[in-house]
Amino acid sequence: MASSSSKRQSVLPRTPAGPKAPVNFSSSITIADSAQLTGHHTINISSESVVHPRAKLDSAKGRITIGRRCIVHERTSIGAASADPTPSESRDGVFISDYATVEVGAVIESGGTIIGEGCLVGVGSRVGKGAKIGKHCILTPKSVIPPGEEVPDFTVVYSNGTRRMDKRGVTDLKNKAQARQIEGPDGNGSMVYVGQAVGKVARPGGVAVVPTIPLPEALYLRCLKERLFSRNYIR
Amino acid sequence: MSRKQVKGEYIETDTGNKVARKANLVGTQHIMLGGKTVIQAEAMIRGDLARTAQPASTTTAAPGSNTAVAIGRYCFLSKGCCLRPPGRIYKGTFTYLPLRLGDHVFVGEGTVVQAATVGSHVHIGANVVIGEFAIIKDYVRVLDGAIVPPNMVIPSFSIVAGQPARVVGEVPEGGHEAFELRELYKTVGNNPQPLPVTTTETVSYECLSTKFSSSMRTSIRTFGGLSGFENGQPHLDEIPSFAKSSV
Repeated sequence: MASSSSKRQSVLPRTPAGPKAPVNFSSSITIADSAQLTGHHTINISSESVVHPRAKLDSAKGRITIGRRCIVHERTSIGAASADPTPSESRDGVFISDYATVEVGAVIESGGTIIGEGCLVGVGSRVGKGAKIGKHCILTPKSVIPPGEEVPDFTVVYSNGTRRMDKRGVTDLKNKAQARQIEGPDGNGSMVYVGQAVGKVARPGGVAVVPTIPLPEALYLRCLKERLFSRNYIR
Repeated sequence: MSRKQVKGEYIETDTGNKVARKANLVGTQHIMLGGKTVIQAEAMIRGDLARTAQPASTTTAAPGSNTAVAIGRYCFLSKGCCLRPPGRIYKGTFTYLPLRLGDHVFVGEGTVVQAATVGSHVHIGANVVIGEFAIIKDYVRVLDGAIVPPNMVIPSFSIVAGQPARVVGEVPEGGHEAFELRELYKTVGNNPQPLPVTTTETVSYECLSTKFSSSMRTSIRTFGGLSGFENGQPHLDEIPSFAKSSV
C-alpha cells in the first residue's frame, strides 16, 4: 500500500553540482535540502522565508534577494537566464520583496527583476528579465510578463494577459494569512527550520523546528474570513 | 540492498505500482497508492505537506491517518506532473488537507494538481493547473492547458478547458469507456507491452484527444454567444489568491 517498497526511503537526490552560491541566510528561514542554490553572486534570504524542495535559485546573472516571509514553492526557477541577450543595468539579478509568494514551477528571469511586496506569482508563470511587478499584484497561473514590463501596484493579471486592479484592500489580511502559513505547525511540510545552522541544512523528514511567535491576530483572521465569504470571488 | 535486482527504470511493487526511479516523492509515508498506479519520471508528490495530527497523538495514530495524498487504482501520473495537497487556514491555524485521487485518473505532463478531490475516471491533460480545493467529479476530461480556478467544482461527464477553465462540453454517450487506464498501465514499466491495436473500445490516446477537441470546438460554437467564451471576457476574473489560506 505504501508508495514504494519499504526498502526505499524518502530520499531526495542530492543537489546536482554547480558552483555553490555564496549565501546570506537569516537564521529563521526554512529551506528544503533539495533546493538548488547555484551561481557566484550572493543569495540573500531574509527572515522567516520558506524555500520548498527543488526550487532553483541561480545567481549566475546577479544577486538574488528574497525578502521576509516569502514563500518560494517547488520547482520554481529564480534567476533563470533570459533569452534576451542585452545586458541589464542593474547589478541585482532578482529582488523579491517581503510577503511575496512564488508558486510551483514559476520562472523569474534574472536581470534587475523586481517582484513587489505581497505579490503572488502563480503556478507556471514567467516573469521576464528586468520586469518590475508592483506591490500586491496577482499573476494568475501561466501568466507571462514580458522582459522590462512594469506592472503597477495592485494589478491582477489573469486569463492570458488581461489586467485589472485589485480594489479589495485586503493587503494587511493577506500578509497576516501568509504569516500564519509560515508559522503554522504544518505550513512547511517536512522542511526544516534552519536555525543557527546556516548552510548546514538538515534533511527532510527531520523534525521541523518552527519558531513559535505569539499570534494575537485571531480577531483579524475572523474579519478576513467574513470578508471572503461576503464577496463572491467566483462569479 | 544486495537483493536489488537489475535496475529497471521503474520500481514495481507487490501491489503493482510502477514508480519511476526518477520520480520525486517527498514524504512517502504520507502518500497512499491504491495499486497498479504508474508514476513516471520527474513526477512530484508532496507527501510532506500533511496535516500534523494533534501533537499528542502523532506517534500513536494509526499509520496513514494523516495521509497527504491518496491515490486510487490504475492512476497514471505522467512526466513532470506535480501533486500537492491544498492548504488553508482552518480553525485559526494553517493546515494542509489531503488530496484524493480516485481510480483511473490520468494526469498529463507538466500538470500541477492542488485539488481537494479528483473523482474516478478523470482525464487531466498536459500543462493543466488545477487550483486549490477544486473538486472534480467522475468521468471528467480536463483538456490540455486548462487552468481550473481554486474552489471550482466540476460536475461528472464534463469536458473542461480554457484559462480560467469552464465547462465546454459533455462526454458523449458511451464515451466513458475511453477513460479505462488498464491498457495504458501495461504499456509502461520494466517490460512494457505495446498498446493493443484498436478494437473500438480501446481507442488510443491520440484519437481520443482529437475526438474530444473537435467536440469541444462544436460546443464552444454552440455556447459562444451565451457564455462569452469567444470574446475573451471571462466570468471569473481572478484567482482569489488568499481565499485558499483563509476561508
